[in-house]
Order: sequence, then C-alpha cells, then structure tokens
Amino acid sequence: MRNFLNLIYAFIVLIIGLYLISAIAEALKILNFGYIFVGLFVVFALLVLLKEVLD
Amino acid sequence: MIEHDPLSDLIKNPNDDQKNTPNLEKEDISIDYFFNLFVAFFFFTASLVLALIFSILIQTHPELALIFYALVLFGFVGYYILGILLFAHILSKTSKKVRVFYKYHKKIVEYGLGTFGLVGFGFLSFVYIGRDVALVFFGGLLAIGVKEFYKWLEKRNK
Repeated sequence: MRNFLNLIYAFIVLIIGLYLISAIAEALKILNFGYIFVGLFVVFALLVLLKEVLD
Repeated sequence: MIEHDPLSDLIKNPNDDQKNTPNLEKEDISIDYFFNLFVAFFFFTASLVLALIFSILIQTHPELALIFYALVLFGFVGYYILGILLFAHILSKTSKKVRVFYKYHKKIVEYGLGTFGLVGFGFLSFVYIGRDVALVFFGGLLAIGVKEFYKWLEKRNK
C-alpha cells in the first residue's frame, strides 16, 4: 500500500514537472514539446539498465 | 547497610546494550537523512547557479563560456577519479570516518555531475543546436528529480 502511495506521489511530481517545463517552453516559444519525453525515457531506461547490471 | 560492589560496575548488564543500540541507530539514520537532503539541495542549487553563470557568459563571451563549462565538468570528473581511486578507496578500509566520507563523496559527485551535466548540455543545445533539443536534457533532469523524490519517499517510510 505504501509503495503504491509512493508511486502516486512520484507520478504527481512528474506531472507537475511536465506542466512547469511546458509552461517555460511556451514562454520561450518552443513548439515541439515532444522532445522532453525522449529525455525522460532515455534516463529512465538508463536507470533500469544500470540497476540490472549492478544488481 | 548495603555495600556497593565494585565488580558490578565492571559486569555489563545485557539490558543496557539493548536499550542503547536502538537510540544510536535512530540518531545515525536521522543524521544520514538530513545530510542527504542537504547534499542534494546544495548541489542542485550550486549546479543551477553555475549553469546560470554559464548562460550569461555564453551570450557575452561564447568562447569563455565553453572553457568555463569544460573546466567545471572536467573538475568534477577529476575530483571523482582522484577522490575515489587514490584517496578514499585506499583509506576506506582503515578508518570509519573516511569510509563515511567516501560514501558521501560518491553522492556529491553523482549529484553534481548529473545535474550540472544535464543543465549544461541543455543550455549548450539551446544555444547551438536548437531549442527543441534542449528539452531532451531538461526531460532527463526531470526524470532524475522524480527518481530521487521516489527514493526519498521510500527512505521516509522505513
């Protein structure tokens, strides 16, 4: 249950972060917002890979 | 009248140990917990300040900005290699204090390199490659932030 709550909290932080960056991107007139997901998935994939290798 | 037995002072009461250890562990955990938060916060703000200096420099003196960024990045890498390979690793086997330093040293460099590297490359691509590409690095920064937040939540629940 606690793990599930932690995941929800982390997800909320992720959404808030995405919103903040999208607001900044809009202010800077960056049109292609999709690039942010490339970075997100690359880092998450690296973290999972590193954990697999190190464990 | 009951006489005080000096031997009783020397013989340890097993209950004393049980009473003392949990308190000590609690203290250690709280120090560890606040120190980690402090380190994370300090290095995150420090890397942001460095990135800001870098972003101002890149507009006024682009060549100086690149040298500045390379110096800081290689400084981090050099500190990491020197600290871990030469000093901390050899000494970590001997004293407890150094072992603790080694543990935090690794964290300091990981936070420093992670945040400063991503913020710096974000600014670099913002200026030289394209505004859209900078988002890739800021997305990576957000991913690290979320991961650290999740780790912090897990620690808090233990």
